[in-house]
Amino acid sequence: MNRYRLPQIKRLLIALCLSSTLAPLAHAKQIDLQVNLATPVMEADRTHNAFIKISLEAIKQEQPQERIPANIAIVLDKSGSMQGDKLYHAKKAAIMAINRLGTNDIVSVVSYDSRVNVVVPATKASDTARIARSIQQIEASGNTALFAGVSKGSQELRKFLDMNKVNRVILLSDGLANVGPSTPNELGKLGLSLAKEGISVTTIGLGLGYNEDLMTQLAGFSDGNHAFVENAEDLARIFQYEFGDVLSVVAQGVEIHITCKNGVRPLRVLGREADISGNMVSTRMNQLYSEQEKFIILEVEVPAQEDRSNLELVDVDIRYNDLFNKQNEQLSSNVVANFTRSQKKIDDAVDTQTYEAAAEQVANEFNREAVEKRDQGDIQGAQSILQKSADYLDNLGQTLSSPKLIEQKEEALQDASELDDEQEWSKKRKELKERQFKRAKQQSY
Amino acid sequence: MKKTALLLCGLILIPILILGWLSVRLEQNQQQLIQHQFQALVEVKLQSVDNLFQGHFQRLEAVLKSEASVLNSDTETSHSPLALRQLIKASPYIEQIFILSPTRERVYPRHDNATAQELQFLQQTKTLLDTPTLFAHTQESLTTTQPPTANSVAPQKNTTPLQIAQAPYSAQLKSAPQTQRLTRSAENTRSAETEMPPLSTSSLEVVAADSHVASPTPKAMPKAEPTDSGWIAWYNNTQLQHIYWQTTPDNRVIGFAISRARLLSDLINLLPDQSEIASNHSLSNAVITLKNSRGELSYEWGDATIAADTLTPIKSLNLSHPLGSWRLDYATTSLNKPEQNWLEKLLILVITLSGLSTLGWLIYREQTRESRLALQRVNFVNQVSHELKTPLTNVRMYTEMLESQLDDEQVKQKRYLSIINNESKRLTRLIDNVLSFSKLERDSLDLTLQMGTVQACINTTLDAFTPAFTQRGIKPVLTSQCDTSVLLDPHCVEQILNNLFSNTEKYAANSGTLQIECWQEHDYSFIRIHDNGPGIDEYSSRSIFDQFYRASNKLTDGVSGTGIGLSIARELARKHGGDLILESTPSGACFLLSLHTPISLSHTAVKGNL
Repeated sequence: MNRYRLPQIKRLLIALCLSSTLAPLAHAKQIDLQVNLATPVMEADRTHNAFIKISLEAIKQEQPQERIPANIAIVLDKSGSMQGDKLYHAKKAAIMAINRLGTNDIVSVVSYDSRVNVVVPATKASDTARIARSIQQIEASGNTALFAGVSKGSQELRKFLDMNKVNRVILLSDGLANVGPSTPNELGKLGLSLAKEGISVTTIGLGLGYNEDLMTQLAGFSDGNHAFVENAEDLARIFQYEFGDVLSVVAQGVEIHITCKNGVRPLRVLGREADISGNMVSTRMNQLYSEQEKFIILEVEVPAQEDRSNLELVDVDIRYNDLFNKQNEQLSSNVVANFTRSQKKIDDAVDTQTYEAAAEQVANEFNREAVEKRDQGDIQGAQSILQKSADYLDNLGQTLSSPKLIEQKEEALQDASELDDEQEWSKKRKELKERQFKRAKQQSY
Repeated sequence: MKKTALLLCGLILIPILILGWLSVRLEQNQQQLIQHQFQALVEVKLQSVDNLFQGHFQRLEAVLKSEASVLNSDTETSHSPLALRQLIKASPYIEQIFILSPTRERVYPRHDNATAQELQFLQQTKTLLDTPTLFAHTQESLTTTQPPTANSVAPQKNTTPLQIAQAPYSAQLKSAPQTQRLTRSAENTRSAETEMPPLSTSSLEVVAADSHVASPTPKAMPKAEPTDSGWIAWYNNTQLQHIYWQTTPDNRVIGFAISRARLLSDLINLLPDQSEIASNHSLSNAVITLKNSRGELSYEWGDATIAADTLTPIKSLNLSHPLGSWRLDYATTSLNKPEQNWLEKLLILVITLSGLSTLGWLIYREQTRESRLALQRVNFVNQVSHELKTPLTNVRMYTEMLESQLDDEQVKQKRYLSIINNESKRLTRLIDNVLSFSKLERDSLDLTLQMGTVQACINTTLDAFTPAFTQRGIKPVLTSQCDTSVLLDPHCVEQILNNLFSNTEKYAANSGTLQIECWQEHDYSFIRIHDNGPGIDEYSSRSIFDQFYRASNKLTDGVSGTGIGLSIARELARKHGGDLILESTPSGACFLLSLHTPISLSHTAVKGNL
């Protein structure tokens, strides 16, 4: 399926050509690119909406390799609301996580209330005892200058910013940003800008007081992780997961370019933000983790074709920075659909796994819409969307005989029934947002 | 005593009040001076922040210039949507790019081929992009709007900003030193800072109404040659947004919309955090806040013990273009604590006050002690005089009894007795004088008025002095017209006359005639006593009525006296509603005694008024 194509951007032509032709000779590829069609065989003579799954997975290496150094900024909310248990556990979790780092890793700690304090400026994570002492001295008070906190955290990262390191801000907050910019949009924009530099922001929302939209936007646009932690005791576990993720990054700066061909029209990309311009679709992932599959689902409109014809639907171009080889790598692939009048052939050809993944994302979109409706106060509208989602999942789950989809259906029905509980809504919304985020980004924890 | 106390109080209080007033004035002046200095210092501090921001815009400008030159260098494929999108994706600062053709038509982004983000951008900047005059600024406006920053470069007209085109550049992973290098190399190509006219109220309403674009228009239509780049600050939904534009060699305009969030984030990163402040103590007792165009708090830094929202800023600085409408506020508590100085001044005042008071009290005590002692002495003399009076009376009485029993032929004995009698009379007068003196001093002398004639008083006194006068060769001649009975205190009148006659006796011995005239006018009686003695020289005549004054030594040689006689006589005369004066005469001494002697009791009221 892989086929090299001429790069469209002259600027990168030479470098990419060199790397793409020489790379396979020098190294084993780290990343496996799969482009699959949920319905590889389609009915002829009519237009279709088809799901294409573009998945990337780091291949398990035979011989153990050195870990990729990390450059981490922990940004801790120390506003008044963090007082007591929350801050205690946050500090403990941060110290525990830092102890996992090696001497090649860089760590910095920033705390913020109304103002920002760089507790530990970017430093090698060798003297962890000293770092721990500094962290222990953090005391809670004041407001929440979240924007400035993230800014200063990313500034600490920039001191040792390196494309061959994993650059990550880990933000912990339990409250609404009330000093400086405070809208999800603004934080999202900041996240986007940081992502361009190769910095991801992982946001951990603690308790029920934080703004989940802001936190998911910030994490979403910078392609970090997001977690909702209701009890401070769970912080240690989440930090461990997060550091596990950070320490298993194998590739960064993954750019995905999709060109739709032969009159195929891109409709939408499920899960991730993507730019659709004409027949071009482009999106990016900040990093790929070892042994984790990340994918996007592209929905396209396929024009009617004759019986027994073949049609190349899309070309996929992937470029990424291989952290082990410290080189830019390129992968290409395409997908071809067959057309037939035989229903049996169509049914037999269905790629269950791909379809499952697509359905999961479609239902996730439904879920997102339902939350929007619920935000407008339309509980019934939200419930009917979830019901639609459940019906869709049920239908597909039966056809594909997929227990995973049936399970998701149950989940949708459960969500629908819990929508009208006003008191629990704040918590429920955070759960939903977190789940949506994790599904869309295939977060490992 | 009371008077002394009051005087002392005044003496203490007046300097204290003056001192207090002066210190208040001094303190006020000092405060003002400090405040002025402080304000100037704060202004410099805030200005340095502004300069920092200007520096950031310059670096940003250099970065964008190099981006633009990369885009321009490859003219065949330049400005292809793909390349532009690639740049937008790569550069953390750029949110969107737009290209205007030489005729200022929009070339990119196009509506027909736009991503969702681009469409949104077009919607927001519709009015902005339709105003081509914005992208050509005159030289005049350029020079007038150059912000007075320390590190800003003088505007140069330079239409080829491509000298740094060859610098290999990627917006990603730009480290600060690298940016600074770029800035330096870009300095000579730096051209323009442009100013947007302030947001008019009408456009503000537009913003409020549809939450999109407030379209600013340049103040003056460009007439002079347009410059080739500039910053545009515009309001989107009341938030300040920035566009950097540049004309390309082929006269297109390329514009970069700056990511607002990123800009703020970068500006915040230029500002110190709390640990920096704690380590260099640059802001003790003060907080600086950065407020955006909506007046919302964007960032604050300063003394950890101070909350900015509880203080009113003492100094505000509006930032220079393109961050106009943003401002820095400086709040502090250090100016609100002048108590320290006040305490010091108050302490000085209190010390001075207590010092003066102690001094005053000591003086007062000393004085009262002395006057108490004097009073004791007077009392003692009084007592003694009283004690002397009784035996003296007995001596006189028995002398007179003995004299009357003596035979005429016992001349020698009679002479002795008359001497005893005279001397005891003299002693009596002396004692009377002492008693009167002390009474007058205490103001406790009361007249005992009764009906009588002045002549009787004169006669009584003369009788007593006759032997002495005779002995000392003085011959009193009385011319009296005072036989009317009037109200008087005979004892008082007699004492006055006693003193006068006793003086005559002492100082005018062997002077012959002593003229005594007496007459009455209305309610007043007058007695003139004129001797032919040596008289009183002019110098002494001024002081003879003063207490304890005694005339020249030559004169008083061998004459005893207390020096209080005349002063008592005058005091008594004044007490009696009259006076005693020394009249000038060619020879001898002449005293005129006047007395208020009403004819009946009803006239005493008149005397009271005198």
